[in-house]
Amino acid sequence: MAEVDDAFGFDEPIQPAAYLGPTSLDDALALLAEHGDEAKVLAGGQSLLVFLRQGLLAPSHLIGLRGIAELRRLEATPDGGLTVGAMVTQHTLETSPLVQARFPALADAAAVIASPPVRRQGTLGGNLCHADPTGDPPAALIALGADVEIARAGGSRRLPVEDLFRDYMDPAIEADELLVAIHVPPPAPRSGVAYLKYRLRGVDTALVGVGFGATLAEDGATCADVRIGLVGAGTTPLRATEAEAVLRGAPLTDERLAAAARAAAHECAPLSDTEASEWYRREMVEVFVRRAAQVALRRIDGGNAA
Amino acid sequence: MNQRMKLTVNGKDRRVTARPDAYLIDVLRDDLALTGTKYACGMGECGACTVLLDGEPVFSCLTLAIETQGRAITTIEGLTRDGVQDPLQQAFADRGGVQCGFCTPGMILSARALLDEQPHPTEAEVRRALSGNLCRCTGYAKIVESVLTAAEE
Ligand SMILES: Cc1cc2nc3c(=O)[nH]c(=O)nc-3n(C[C@H](O)[C@H](O)[C@H](O)COP(=O)(O)OP(=O)(O)OC[C@H]3O[C@@H](n4cnc5c(N)ncnc54)[C@H](O)[C@@H]3O)c2cc1C
Ligand code: FES
Ligand code: FES
Repeated sequence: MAEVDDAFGFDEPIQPAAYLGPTSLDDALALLAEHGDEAKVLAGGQSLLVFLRQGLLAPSHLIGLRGIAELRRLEATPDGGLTVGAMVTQHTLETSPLVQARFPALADAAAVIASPPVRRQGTLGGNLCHADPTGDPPAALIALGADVEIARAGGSRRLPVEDLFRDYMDPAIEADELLVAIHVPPPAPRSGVAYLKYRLRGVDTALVGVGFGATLAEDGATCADVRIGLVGAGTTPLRATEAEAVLRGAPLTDERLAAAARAAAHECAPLSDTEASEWYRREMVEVFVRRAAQVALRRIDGGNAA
Repeated sequence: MNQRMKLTVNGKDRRVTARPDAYLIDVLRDDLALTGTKYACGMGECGACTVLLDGEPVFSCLTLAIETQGRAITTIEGLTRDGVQDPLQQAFADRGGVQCGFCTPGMILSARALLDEQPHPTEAEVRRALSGNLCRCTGYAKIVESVLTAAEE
C-alpha cells in the first residue's frame, strides 16, 4: 500500500511495525523479553491505534494478544470472586449475566465506555494499561477491591489496582511485562458497590466518575469497610483514602456521607482543561460521591443504613 | 516488508499485499476500492468507518487488517445482494434517513448488527446502538424512524 498522507494530516510511521501474533501466554512473554523496549502490546487497539495513526508512537513490533485464549477467561472463582482475563472485552463485561448479577458496578462501568463499536474491541486490560485518568473501569475496580496480576517470563506479581496508576498514562508495568488478569474478591456479606459517571454528552469521557463500595457491620448501620475510587479527579485514577477514613467505623448517616464527600473533593487534585475547571470537577466529585454512596447502599441486602 | 493477507470481505476471499500495520479502512478503500466505508475522524469518535466483523460493529479506522484474517468482514457494499437492498437501506431511502449520506453506511451497519441480535428493538435500544455514529445533517429523528420502520418489516 502506498504511503500517503491522509487528508487530516496524520502520517503513518515511515517504518512499518512488524506484527507478531503469539497464541500462548508463554510465547507472548518470550517475545516481550526479546523485543520489550521497542515493541508495543496490542490488545483491542482502541487507544493504541489512535496513537499509532497520529504518529505519536512508532514501535518496531506490535505484539497482538487476540490469539491467546487464556487471556479471554471470564469466570467465577470457587470462593465467589471473579477472574477477568486481560483480553475480555468491555462488551463482554457489560453483557455478562454473571458480572451483571454479582458485580454490577463493573458491568455499569463497562457499559458507559465510549460507544458500542469501541466496547466490542476494547478490553479491560487495555483500558487499565492505557491508564487514562478519566477511564471508567479503574474507579469501579478500586471500589471492588480488585487486584491486577502482572507477568513476565519466569514470574508474576499482584498489586492492588490503585497501585497500577503511577502517573498520567503511565502504568506500573515494565516493558517486558504483561497484565494478565484482574481479580475481584467475592462480595462480602452486607456489601454494595456502585459506579457513577458524570458527563455532558452520551459518549463523552467522564468529567468525574466515582466508584463507591461499602460493607456494613452486623448491626446493619455501621460502616465496617469502605472503598472509594475517583476518576477525572487527578493525573491518575485514585483512591480517596481520607474520605474513606471519615466513614470507616462510623454510622453511615447522611451527615457522615456528606462529610466524606467533602473530604474526597478536598483530597483529590483535578486538572483544569477545555472540558471543565478544577473547581467544577471538585464540586462534582462531592456530588457524585454522595450519589454513588446512595446507589451502593441500596444494593446492600438487608442493610438499613441511609 | 509488505505482507500478504487473505481477508474475507462480503463473503468473498480477497488477497491483498499491505503493510503489516495497515488499517482495515485503508485496505478496504485503497486496495479493494470499497469506498462505501467512509473515513472522517480516524480516532473512533464518529462511526463513519463502521463495518461488521463476524457480525459485530467495529471501527475500521481502529482495526488492523492483519487481525481480521479468518473473520467475516461486512461492508455496506455487502448488504445489497443481487441488486436487492437490505430492508434498512430501503427504509433509510423511504423515510429520509439520508441527507448528505456520509454517515449512512456506518449507521446502517450499526443498525444491521442491532437488528440481527434484537429484531424488534425499542427506540431507546436503537438510539443506544447508534450512539457511536454521528450525523451532522439529520438530527437523528429520521434515522431512528428508518431503523424502527425496517424492524417492523
Ligand atoms: C472515541 C473513544 C472514546 C473512549 N471513551 C472512553 C470512556 O469513556 N471511558 C473509558 O474508560 N475508556 C474510553 N476509551 C478508551 C477505551 O476504553 C479503550 O478500549 C482502552 O483505553 C484501551 O483498551 P484496548 O483493549 O483497546 O487497548 P489497546 O489500545 O490495544 O492498548 C492500550 C495500551 O495498553 C497497552 N496494553 C494493552 N493490553 C495490555 C496488557 N495486557 N498488558 C500490558 N500492556 C497492555 C498497550 O500497549 C497500549 O499502550 C475511549 C476510546 C475511544 C477511541
Ligand atoms: S473514521 Fe473511524 S470512527 Fe471516525
Ligand atoms: S446524513 Fe449527512 S452526516 Fe448524516
